[in-house]
Amino acid sequence: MIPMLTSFWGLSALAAIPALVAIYLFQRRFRTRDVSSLLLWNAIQQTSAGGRTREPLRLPLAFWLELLAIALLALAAAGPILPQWSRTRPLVIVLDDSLSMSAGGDDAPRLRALAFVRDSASRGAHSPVHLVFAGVTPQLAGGESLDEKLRGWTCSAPASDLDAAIGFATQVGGPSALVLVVTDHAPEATLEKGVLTWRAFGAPRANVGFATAARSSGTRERVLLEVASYAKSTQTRTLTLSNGRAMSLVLGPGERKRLQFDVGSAPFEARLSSDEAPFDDRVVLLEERRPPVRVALRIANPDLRQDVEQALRASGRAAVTDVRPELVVTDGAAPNGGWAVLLRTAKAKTAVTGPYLLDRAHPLLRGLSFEGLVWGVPPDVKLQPANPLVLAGNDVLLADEEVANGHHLRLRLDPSISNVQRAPLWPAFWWNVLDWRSAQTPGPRASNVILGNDARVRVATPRATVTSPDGVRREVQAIEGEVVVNADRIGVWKVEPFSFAANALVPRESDLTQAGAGTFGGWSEASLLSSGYQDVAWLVLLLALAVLVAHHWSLWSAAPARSAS
Amino acid sequence: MNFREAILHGERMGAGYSLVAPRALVSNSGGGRVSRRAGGSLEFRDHREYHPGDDLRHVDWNVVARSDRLIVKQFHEEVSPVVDLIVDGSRSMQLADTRKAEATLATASFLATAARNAGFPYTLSMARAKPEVVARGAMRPIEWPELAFDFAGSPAATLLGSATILRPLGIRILISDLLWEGEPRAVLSSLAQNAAALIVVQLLAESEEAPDVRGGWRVVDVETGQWREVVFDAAAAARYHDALLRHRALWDDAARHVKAIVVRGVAERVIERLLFDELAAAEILRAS
Repeated sequence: MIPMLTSFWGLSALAAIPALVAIYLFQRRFRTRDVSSLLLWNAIQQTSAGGRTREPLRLPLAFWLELLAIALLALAAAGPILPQWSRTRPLVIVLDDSLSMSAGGDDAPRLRALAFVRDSASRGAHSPVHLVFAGVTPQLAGGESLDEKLRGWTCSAPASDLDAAIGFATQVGGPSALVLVVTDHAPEATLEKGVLTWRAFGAPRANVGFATAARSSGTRERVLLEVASYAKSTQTRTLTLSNGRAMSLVLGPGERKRLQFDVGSAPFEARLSSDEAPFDDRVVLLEERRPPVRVALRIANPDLRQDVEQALRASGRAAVTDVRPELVVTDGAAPNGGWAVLLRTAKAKTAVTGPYLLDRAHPLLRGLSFEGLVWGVPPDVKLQPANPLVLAGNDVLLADEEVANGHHLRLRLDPSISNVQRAPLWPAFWWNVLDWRSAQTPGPRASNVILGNDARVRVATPRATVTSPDGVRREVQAIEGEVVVNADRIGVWKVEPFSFAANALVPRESDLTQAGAGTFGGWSEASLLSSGYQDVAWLVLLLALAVLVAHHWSLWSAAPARSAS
Repeated sequence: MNFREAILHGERMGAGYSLVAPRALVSNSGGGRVSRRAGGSLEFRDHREYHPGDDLRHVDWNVVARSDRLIVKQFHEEVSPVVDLIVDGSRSMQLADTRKAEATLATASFLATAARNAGFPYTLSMARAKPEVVARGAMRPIEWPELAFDFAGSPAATLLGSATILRPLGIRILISDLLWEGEPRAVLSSLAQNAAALIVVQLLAESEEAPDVRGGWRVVDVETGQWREVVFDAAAAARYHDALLRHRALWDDAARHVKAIVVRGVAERVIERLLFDELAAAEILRAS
């Protein structure tokens, strides 16, 4: 289909052509004029003369110029596009920013790729050149010069989502961009020539590293370590603990060893003898600072009290006490402010079995199943104006109300005709209550996080000073009393006055057996030549203007005014 | 303005002017003797040897008696020119929607009156299929019979054969639009034969000088009935103008060849002044 015919404006403009033809044909309706002689008129190119000779239709040059101008204007209105023919296409280099790129010491893939990237970017064959760091989430490199952009390529991400980065690169560079992926392994699928070139600079290496590290708090502080071998041969390493104890570990191909240690409250550190991937040879585990929530039980109903107390104790996160309680559970009067669970247990006439309407976004309902519940609903109990979390029809069963210095959770339940307190939901609900309450106390939600994850630290001040393991300090704004820090460096982080540790426990990065080198895919000749399409309406308009100038010139040059001289 | 009014207008305009006898005579045979010639006046100029064909009445018998040589007397030829006014009588001179006929008659009347004022007898001929004398002597133009431009053809052939009615050594004036095919040199040479002077007055209508028409036209030759269909636009106007210039150049070249004078005017513009300035510039006319 001719593009012009698919464009409303182009089609409309074409209507001018029959109009022009009609004008000229009308103009060509010959009127009779007597002249003294045909002597001078014969000099004019005649259209026809008396006789039987058939002569072709002759139209003046002005007509053809006007026709051409109309056609060009119609074409311009249709929005013509032409393929761009240029070798200076945009280039987006996707740099694998994961830890494995730094394995290998002086022969690390990052170092081997750096020279190639500099050469590709500075060759001048592409413009502009963008760098995208392929970490957990793709990130566009900032900076003016290439060196400034490359400065951000630290290869410290716990993973690299190359697919997402390639997609992002296409968005950044546009449809005409060429994409160059720089990584340490081959693509998972075969790449055909096109707009994507995949360059791998890795090499298979035997590596041993920590795969798991956890610290439990309770009556005994214990540490669980899992050391994994990512090698096809037996590897021997020395494990050194922070208390100075050292032991030799011999691991067969692919073997994992689990180790447990009793530790004190001090930070625990374990090191493996160095190998080519140092990022997984050290773990630091801080004390899991999770003191139990002090809960005051003020429940008159002995059965219900027992049910609640059992659930609280089963969680291991509560200490039932009336001393400075952080949470009050009561079926009596509501306390003034603070955190409380208010039980409304009046005798119910009816029980409901659902369906239940749930606010699944609320942390209290995380993981709860309401299937098979029989819920006795006390009458004449209004939970307004609280925020309803669980409803059965028009009856609000559980509601949350924000009060001074805390929340009041209102639970409307007649335990005598309900099976709620016997359902799996019951301990899970109380675990959620304790977790939610615990999360509101200052300190980190978890003292040990995996590299790349967000660490959440509750602070009492609107701003907090965050210090990374490499000593970089920055001020962070607390949002709703919480500071969120992406733990993108291995080591101990400080969020004054608290700390948390980040460890590279990423087996996928530690496993270097699949690393390799090579060039895959590649840029096809067609993709190098064709840089997409460009709008050439301006060019067509320019041509139309030139035709109109020629038209004007032809009329002016032949005007009688000139001949009068 | 009808024809009679045009003739009267020309006569009135010509009342204050006289035709001037030319200082130099036009060539009659390729430019041989062009200046002073011996002629038939009574004023003696010189003697010379007798040549066969000389008038025996001019033999000076006294000299013959004294010297036994045949000597003839030579006298200054007295230029007493008559004026031959030749008007193109073809239909094109009366083209519709133009003032060519009025301008032609007024100009002829004007020149005839100027000739009368100079004491030159004139002859007015209409060039139709053959030359037709319509007035002669010292007749006032207003007394001219009805004149008609009704010849359906070119006057070229008529002009080529007009020597029979043209008087020798006269001042010959052709008034025409000159719009016909053919070589003008032959026509002008014929008219210049034995003429004291040849003046060609070309009168065109304004619409012929620079047609200001746009669009498609079927142009019909009023003399032959032939026609052409043309689209007249700016480009066509330019080509028409170029053709007109070439046509004028052709006549100018022919006129130079026979030492004729060409005076041009546009009918609608000259009817008030009747080419006085142009004729005076050519030293044909002066105020009396």
